[in-house]
Amino acid sequence: MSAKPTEIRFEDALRELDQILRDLEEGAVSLEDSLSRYERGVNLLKQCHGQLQNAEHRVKMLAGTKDDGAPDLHPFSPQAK
Amino acid sequence: MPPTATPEREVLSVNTLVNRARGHLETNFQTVWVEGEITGFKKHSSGHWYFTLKDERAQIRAMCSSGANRRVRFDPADGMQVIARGRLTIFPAQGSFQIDVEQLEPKGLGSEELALRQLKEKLRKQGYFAPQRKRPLQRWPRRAAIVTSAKGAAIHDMLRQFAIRWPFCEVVLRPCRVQGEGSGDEIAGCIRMVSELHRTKKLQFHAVIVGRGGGSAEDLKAFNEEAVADAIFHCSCPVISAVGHEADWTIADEVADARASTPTNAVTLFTPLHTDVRRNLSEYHARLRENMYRRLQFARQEVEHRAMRPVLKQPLRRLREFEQRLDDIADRLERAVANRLRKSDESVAALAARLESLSPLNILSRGYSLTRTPGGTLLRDAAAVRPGEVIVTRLANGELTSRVEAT
Repeated sequence: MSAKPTEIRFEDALRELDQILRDLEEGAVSLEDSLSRYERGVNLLKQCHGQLQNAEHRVKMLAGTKDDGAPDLHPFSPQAK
Repeated sequence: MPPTATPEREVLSVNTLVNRARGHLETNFQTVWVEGEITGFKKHSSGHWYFTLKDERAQIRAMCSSGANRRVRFDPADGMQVIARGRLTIFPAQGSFQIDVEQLEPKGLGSEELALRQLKEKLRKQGYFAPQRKRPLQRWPRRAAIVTSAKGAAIHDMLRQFAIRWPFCEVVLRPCRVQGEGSGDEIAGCIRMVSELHRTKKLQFHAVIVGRGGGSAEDLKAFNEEAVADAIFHCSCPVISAVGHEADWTIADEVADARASTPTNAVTLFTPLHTDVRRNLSEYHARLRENMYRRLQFARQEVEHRAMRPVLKQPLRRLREFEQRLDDIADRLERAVANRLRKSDESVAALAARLESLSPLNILSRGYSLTRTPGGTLLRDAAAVRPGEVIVTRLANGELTSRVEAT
């Protein structure tokens, strides 16, 4: 989606975290692997927290589509009622 | 008695007779209203409709020309009670007397309402409302489209709700008229535009919210149009309908993947509350740590068990290194999120307290057990033993020695 390449999507991050938790719970991975999975999990959480930082609420107006099918977007500021 | 010629006798051709009679009928029954039941209804390929109107005692043939039936708002069918307006005439070629219907209304229901019911029935048969085709909504949306009027309360309410709950979602408004002649087609066109952008990946959306604020039934009419239903049905991304108030239920609501009672409610059901998400992340953090510590405790126990037999001292040292690394990672995470995350401090504190109690025996006391081969190898995989072999299970209190029946 709009996510920058470095931005992991929430749903992906949480899915991976669930998998990591399952791996750790089942205890079938070696201690070494467990630890690296834990580290990965912590990293994912950090990224998720990071995404909740930039709370600039973006609103755009779609005026139409251009000849190549790309969206023609403009800034939009809601008028008072 | 022999026939006597009467000089005033006038012999007419059939055609003249029928036409005279037709003249009488058409002059004296120019406009009649008649109520009856439709039977033998047929749509001819010419576009004209033919049917019979009947009641318990009589019947009359009826014809509704293609010009006239274009204005009929519902689909007539056998068994329907209707009121027809028309004039009487004779169809000369058959000599049959009939009513030429100019106007046809269902009895009981208004024709608008009947048309709406019939459209609903038609769409239902085509599977437009099927629950199994409703798509789930993205739980952490990053971009949403809104098709509604750029003016008015609806867009204002929705944007405010986005800002309060989940400001991380970009909102793309596609403004359009939401009432008046042609607004249904306009709404449908806007949904198709959004759908096309999504489908071609030019601009992707986690959902499109289609709606408007409250109004009279007449104001909401556009959302009952077939064009809007079609656009929603074929939309490439999930659609949330948000039309009017709780009590208003339109066809758009039935077709959409999710139906919101109001525009504000649409945003509420589409977005998480950001504080909930933060709490959720903290919970993940806690579970991760808890699991990791438990994993470590198992490992420690395993090593200690072996260490009791005077063999290896090395693994214990190695384990301590692991524990140190774990603490180190945890510390780094805490530093990273500490200032963002007051809540997580509490859960980390709670976790620390819980970890105190995570001694190996405490783990066993919660119902876990450790199973080993008589040689002392910890069993993790049923395939590691064969039927007939002896295994030893350590419980919180005591040990069990068992023989494997099957794996």
